[in-house]
Amino acid sequence: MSLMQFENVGLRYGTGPEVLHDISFELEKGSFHFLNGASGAGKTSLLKLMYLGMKPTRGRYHMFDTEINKASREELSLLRQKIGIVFQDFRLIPHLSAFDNVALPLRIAGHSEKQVKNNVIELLEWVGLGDYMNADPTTMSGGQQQRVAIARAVINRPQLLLADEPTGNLDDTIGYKLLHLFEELNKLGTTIIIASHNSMLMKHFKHRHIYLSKGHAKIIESQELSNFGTDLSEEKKNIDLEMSQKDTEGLFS
Amino acid sequence: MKRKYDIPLHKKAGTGFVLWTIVLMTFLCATTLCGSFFLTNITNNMEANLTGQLTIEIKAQLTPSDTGLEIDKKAQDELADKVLALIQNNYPGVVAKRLDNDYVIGLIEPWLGVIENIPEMENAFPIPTLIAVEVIDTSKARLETLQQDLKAISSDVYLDKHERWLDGILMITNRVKNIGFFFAVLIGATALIAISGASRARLTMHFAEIELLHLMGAFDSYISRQFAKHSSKMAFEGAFVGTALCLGTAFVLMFAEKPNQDDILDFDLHLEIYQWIAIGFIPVFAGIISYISADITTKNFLKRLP
Repeated sequence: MSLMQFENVGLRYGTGPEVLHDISFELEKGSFHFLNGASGAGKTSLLKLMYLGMKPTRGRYHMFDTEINKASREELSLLRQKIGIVFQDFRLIPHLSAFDNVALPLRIAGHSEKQVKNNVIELLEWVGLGDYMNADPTTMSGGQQQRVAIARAVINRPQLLLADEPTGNLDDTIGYKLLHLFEELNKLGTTIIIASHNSMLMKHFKHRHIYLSKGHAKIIESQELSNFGTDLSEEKKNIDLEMSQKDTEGLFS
Repeated sequence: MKRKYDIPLHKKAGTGFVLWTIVLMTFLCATTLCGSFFLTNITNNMEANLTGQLTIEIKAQLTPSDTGLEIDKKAQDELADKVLALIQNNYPGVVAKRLDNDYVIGLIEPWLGVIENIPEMENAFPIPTLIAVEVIDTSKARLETLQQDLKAISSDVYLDKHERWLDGILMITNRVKNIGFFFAVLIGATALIAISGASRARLTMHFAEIELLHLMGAFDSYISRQFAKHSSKMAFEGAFVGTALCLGTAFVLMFAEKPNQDDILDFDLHLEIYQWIAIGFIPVFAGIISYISADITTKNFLKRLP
């Protein structure tokens, strides 16, 4: 079943030139994709379309069986509640504690405070921030902020998770652990799209790629990626992947 | 653990400025309203005190003599007696009382200075005779009948209903009162525009947080409610202080100097209970209006987002 479907979608900002041209592809529910391409290829713009931060200027775009250009504001809000986003710059609200930042999606979705408290505490403890519940993001390190941002993205068990360079500020062990968390979520039915430049990570996790070049998109298999001009590194790391995998099991069961 | 607002509305610079603007605007608005209420009450008192209070004026009777014209006090007294008899016989329930000459002469003292020799003045000056009349039925038809009956006695008898000067005073006070209400509305509207402008400025300042909530699936109402609540709270607090200052000023004015209660032109400053309530309601009203205004402003702003 299709989760999102682009048909000849184009996007431009205001009266500027088109940054995405004739995007046509379909992503199945429960799939896992990396989004990559050179700088300026349109990754951010495509992500914006995917998280409904923009509407296409032409073409048809369906998500969760809804045509986005025809959806009402309320319908779009409900669709957005099914999407979790990890922003590259985290976008945490500075005056809110780690707890309140992570709690936001649940509160927006109208969950009870009891549910909010239980879920947020559990997740923050799992990402190793149990002692930072009341800390302001400004007092936290980049890695800690990123973990808060990830916790916020997954707290509401989204049907679609979009992550923009989620491992950018994490060391490799935590990066792999995070990817395993995303895989766990994926096994539970969450569709995952990760924009990343981390070639080693992408190579290790054998998933399809949405490859963007000059505003055009193409779905390719992992092994085909080298044919599309990306600089996947052959470097290998000695990471205890089994350990990472074990840590994530059961969290979302 | 939950914070009051997801958006740090209370932390940005300018909140204090807006708050004190609201205090000042509310003080001006409430004071203007209070002044209009004072005038309303003064006008009502004047009308109540003078309704049914008439004066019959009998011109001084003059007869020709060797030296020119002479004051005929006897003829004047006869006219006064006829008038009193007319009222007594034909107008039951109407009370008429001839005013002493001393009292009448006292009325013209402001123009002529203190008069020490009253008998001399009576002979030298054509002083009219005044009869104070109290009527219950002040209908136009009834008063016209009385006027016609008085004219039938003599064309020198005139019924003064105080209309000319009372109407003039009432017209002026009503105009001032209406101007007061107009200014109260104008100041209120200006305050509303200021609050709305502050809301728009806050929306721009907090665009990043608003966009984030929007992308998480927050309904427009979820976001606008936070702005509306904050705006309403601030307006209520500011208006409360402004209204309290106004009421303090009103108390000082009301109790600083009590005029003579017997005076027909009762300038006693006081407020009716409903007027106290109306002024006391200003902070609540400001809170409600601010809530609605901020809610609408925020929702309009959010339309920029897809």
